[in-house]
Amino acid sequence: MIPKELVAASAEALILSLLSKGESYGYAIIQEVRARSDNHLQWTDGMLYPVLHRMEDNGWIKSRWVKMENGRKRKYYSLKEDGKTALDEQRSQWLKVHNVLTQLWGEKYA
Amino acid sequence: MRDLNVQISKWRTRMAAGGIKSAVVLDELESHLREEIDRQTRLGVEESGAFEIAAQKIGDSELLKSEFAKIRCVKEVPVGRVVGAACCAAAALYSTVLAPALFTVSELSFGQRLLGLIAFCLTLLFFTSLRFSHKYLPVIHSRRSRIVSVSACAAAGFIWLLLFSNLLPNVIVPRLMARTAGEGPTVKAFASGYESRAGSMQIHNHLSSESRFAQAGFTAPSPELRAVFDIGLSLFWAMTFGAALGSLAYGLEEAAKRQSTNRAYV
Repeated sequence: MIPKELVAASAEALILSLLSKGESYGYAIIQEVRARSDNHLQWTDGMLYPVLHRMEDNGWIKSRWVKMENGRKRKYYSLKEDGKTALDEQRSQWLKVHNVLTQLWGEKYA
Repeated sequence: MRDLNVQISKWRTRMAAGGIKSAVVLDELESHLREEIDRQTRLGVEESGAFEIAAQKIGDSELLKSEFAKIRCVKEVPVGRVVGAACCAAAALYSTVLAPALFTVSELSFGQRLLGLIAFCLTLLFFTSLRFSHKYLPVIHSRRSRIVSVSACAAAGFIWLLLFSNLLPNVIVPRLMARTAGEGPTVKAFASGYESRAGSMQIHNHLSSESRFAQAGFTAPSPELRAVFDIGLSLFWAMTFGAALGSLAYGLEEAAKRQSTNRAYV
């Protein structure tokens, strides 16, 4: 299991990256991150929402309520232009960290 | 299903009692809760157990409340940023409108021009610093301390305006008028007091004021006009001080906001 500090640090980058592939909602985001990380990356479910709301406040993402066929509502989030810029910045930062680590660890872990 | 709705309703009440008051947030959390209950049910867990698992996974209302509060905390005090930016913008605009006079009014002395230009440049610098001042200001994490600091800026600005608006008609203008009235039609005081205040035109001290003006290439202004110049200059500096306080208030809020933005919440 990845420690919560690292999960927290990567939250925005993960959300921005997922939303760059298309709009999504909180539950689906958590499930996808969990699945892609083989259950190693796990959020406390409710804690995703303050992050999403903060990112919305920052103007990186926008949201809309969608009524489903079963009558329930889902709040879908999608990336805004500022979000794409933020993603570029965060990608660049994470790649720098990745590059340093792979250099230090050698080709075996590249 | 009816029992489930009752359970969810009670869960919402508990979350609201725990501090999550926003119906929109509760709706979103409930939507998430129901998705997880569905998943647990599909995995074979009976409805009541599925609810318990889903509620547990969403987390404690106290913890969620504190995370949402961090966003609210930044949202709740935009006043400092708005007032700060408005002060700076108003001061910069006002100074910019006045600035051409520093070059076009021929009766102004070198010292007056210099003082006015320094004030104008400082005002513009404070206005421009809205973009970067947060980098050089401390991050005040405590919301209460930040409110106190920003309020202190606002109060200082307010007191300054009160002071200045009282000083201008009651002290500055009467003193200038008294001085100019005492001089009569001549311009003696201008050379001795004015230029020494500017600190850059003292090379003509041995000359009479009229010849000083002539040598410096000035058209000697009337005493009344000089009083107007003084008032104009004090306005320039009043704007500079207002812009400084505005920039400080904005910078403190911006520094806190950016720190909060960079902090991970999960």
